[in-house]
Amino acid sequence: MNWKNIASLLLNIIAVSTLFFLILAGSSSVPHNSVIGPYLALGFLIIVAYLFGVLARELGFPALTGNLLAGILFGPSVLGLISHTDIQSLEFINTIALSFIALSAGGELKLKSLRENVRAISGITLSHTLLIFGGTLIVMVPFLNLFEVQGISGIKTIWMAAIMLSVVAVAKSPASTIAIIHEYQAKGPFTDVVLGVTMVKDIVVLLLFALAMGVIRGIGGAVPFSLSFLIQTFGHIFLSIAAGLAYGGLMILFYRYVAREITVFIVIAAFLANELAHFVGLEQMLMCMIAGFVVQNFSRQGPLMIEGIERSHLPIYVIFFSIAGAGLDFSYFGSVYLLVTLFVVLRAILIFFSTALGAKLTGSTDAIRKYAWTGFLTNAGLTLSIAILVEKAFPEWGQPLKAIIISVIAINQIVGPVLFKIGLVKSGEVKPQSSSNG
Amino acid sequence: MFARLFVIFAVAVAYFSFSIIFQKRKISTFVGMEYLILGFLLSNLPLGQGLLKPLLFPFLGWIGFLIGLEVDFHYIRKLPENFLVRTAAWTTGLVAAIALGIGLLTTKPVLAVFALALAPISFRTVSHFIPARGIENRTVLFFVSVVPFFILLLFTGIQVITLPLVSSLYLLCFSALFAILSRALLSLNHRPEGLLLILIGVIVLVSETCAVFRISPLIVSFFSGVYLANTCKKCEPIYRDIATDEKPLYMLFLLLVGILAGIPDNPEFLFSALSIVLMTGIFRWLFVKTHWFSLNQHFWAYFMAPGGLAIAIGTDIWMQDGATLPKVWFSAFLVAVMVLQAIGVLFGKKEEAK
Repeated sequence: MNWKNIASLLLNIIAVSTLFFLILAGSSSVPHNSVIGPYLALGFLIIVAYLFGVLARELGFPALTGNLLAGILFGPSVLGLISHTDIQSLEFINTIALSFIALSAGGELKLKSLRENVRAISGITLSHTLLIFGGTLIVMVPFLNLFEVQGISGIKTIWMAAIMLSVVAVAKSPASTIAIIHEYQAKGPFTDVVLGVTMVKDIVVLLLFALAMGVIRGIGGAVPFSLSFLIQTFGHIFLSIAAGLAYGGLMILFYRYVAREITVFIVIAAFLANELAHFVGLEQMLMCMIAGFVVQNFSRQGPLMIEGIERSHLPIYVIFFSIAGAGLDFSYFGSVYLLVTLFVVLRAILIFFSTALGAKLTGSTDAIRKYAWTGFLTNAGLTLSIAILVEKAFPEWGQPLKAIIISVIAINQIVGPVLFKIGLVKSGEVKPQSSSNG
Repeated sequence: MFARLFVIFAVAVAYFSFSIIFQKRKISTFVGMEYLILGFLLSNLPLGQGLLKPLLFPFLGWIGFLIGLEVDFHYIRKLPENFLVRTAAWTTGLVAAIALGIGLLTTKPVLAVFALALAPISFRTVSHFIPARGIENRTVLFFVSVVPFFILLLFTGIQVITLPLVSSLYLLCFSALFAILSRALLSLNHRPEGLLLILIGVIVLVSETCAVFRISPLIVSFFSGVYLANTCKKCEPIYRDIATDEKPLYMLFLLLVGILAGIPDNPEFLFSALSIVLMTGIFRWLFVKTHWFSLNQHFWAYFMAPGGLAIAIGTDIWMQDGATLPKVWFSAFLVAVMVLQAIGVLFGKKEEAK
């Protein structure tokens, strides 16, 4: 630990924050276009999030944790230098960044290593799905009954909320996983298994969510459980996969026949994929992951794509995670902290045991059995989408459930990356002295 | 939604096809004016133009910063005093002449500030046609590279005089403050990609602050760049990093300018554009004929090209005071710059062929 560096970083953070505070104070007396605010906040956030990332690295934490903390500290929950409106306006950057991250997640997965680890990946995914879902459901029903959360009362509602919390418990954040893997330049079977499970679980969670929505509608009695809803969901996933295959094919054509300005291309590709997925109504993450996977494994141009990604991932991660941090809302935490803490602990225990069991049954290495669970703790975008969709569909109990889920995301986003870094180091797959964020 | 998707697709196709075409035919001397045309073509689509406007500020900041980083007093001090005085006089004279011309053309003398944007000479175009061999050619190239510096100094002077006192103070204070801040931030021990990220953050923060306080992001960033170039040891890698990403950023800048300006559908626009071309062309030609720098008479065409800095200064002026500077004049100015650039390149090629 270099104390001189730390002091100098802290001084710079204080200087930039003070200046930004003065600019904000001065700007209130000058009439200006309100559209400028978010971009002003973005400039400030880039600087402090990056500096926090470097500081986190100096202190032995992942840079991602520093980026997130910068967002939390300067966001609406703590200091309020960045407002809710700013965060909402900047959300579009995050959806594009998410496409980029998904492309890189798919690109990191190699068919060869998948084949070698197929048993471990399928075993862990299966045990996660069954044990985490089942375990959470069994425990959360009495817990929700006991804690009497406002809006979640009555046995039917408690069951519906518990089912959704069980889906959330299975879900995880591919973005954090891939960011930590990039940051520490981790390579090897441990990394491949974590990445593989993350990718497959994304599809599983989508299916699980669709099933859960069907069941909940059945329980609620508003809409009877229908097969067509499930078919529609399967169709949606199938179409997203097909679109990902096609998009990957187009990317291969570019790399084969144009192959220039690869950094610009990957950013444009992520941007276009994001717009395309929203326009057609496809699952953006899934489509991009498949596209990245196709380029990496069905062409010779995989390394070219990875090169483009590596050149531009730092700004994307810093912006993505700082905005995500600023968007984390802790205001509900006070009212549901006990339930949230219990859920987070329960989820971590279930992830630990189900990973160990899945790894043991499939004869995986000791490293995977002992430490792979650390890679499955974070949850972010997908989990938040689930919370938003539930809130829209069932506002009475969806709203308090969303508050719980947001608090869960906040804790897991802070703790998860730190634990995953430890897991990666313990697995021995971290490149010595690797640092891409700072 | 469809419009946005279409635009992204069109931009992507254009970016890579222009990149292939121009590299093969070596006519990149158009300095990206093709993206300006693409922007004009896309300007009628409903893209939320109001939301796009603040995006222009960081591009202006980045251009100002890049030019500032090129100003190394170590080299400037080595240039003969006589040379600097003559270049300053030449630049001021040309700006004054064009301003006078524009002032005569319009009932709104405020538009004469566009003269500042019509005076630069595209270094890229000139250096493409004139080889850096021989003392005379090198002097010409030095001259062309020093002109933007004087134009930006003139621009600063005019801003300080014409802006309200509070705005002038903001301009000076923020220039100093951000220069010191950039220096402090960039002096930390960064890896190359970190250095670039910090720079992006600084440029966005500086530019948007300027937008809030209605001062020029081009000038404030220019002075930050100059300060860094002369005080920071990491200036070289910084310059290399931003210069590497120059093309996509510049392309986006021109595209945005085109989209926001659009092509008005009225005769005043055509008349204004034609008048600006004629008047600027004549004054530029006359000034080349002054022989102050032993300018070869065959070079006149190259000096017609105003280059990207012209667009940047024009946009900066328009962004700061869009209310008093009619949009039709800004569009006319852009078309005039494109025409002059085309004249510079096409006639230059003809001369080259001789």
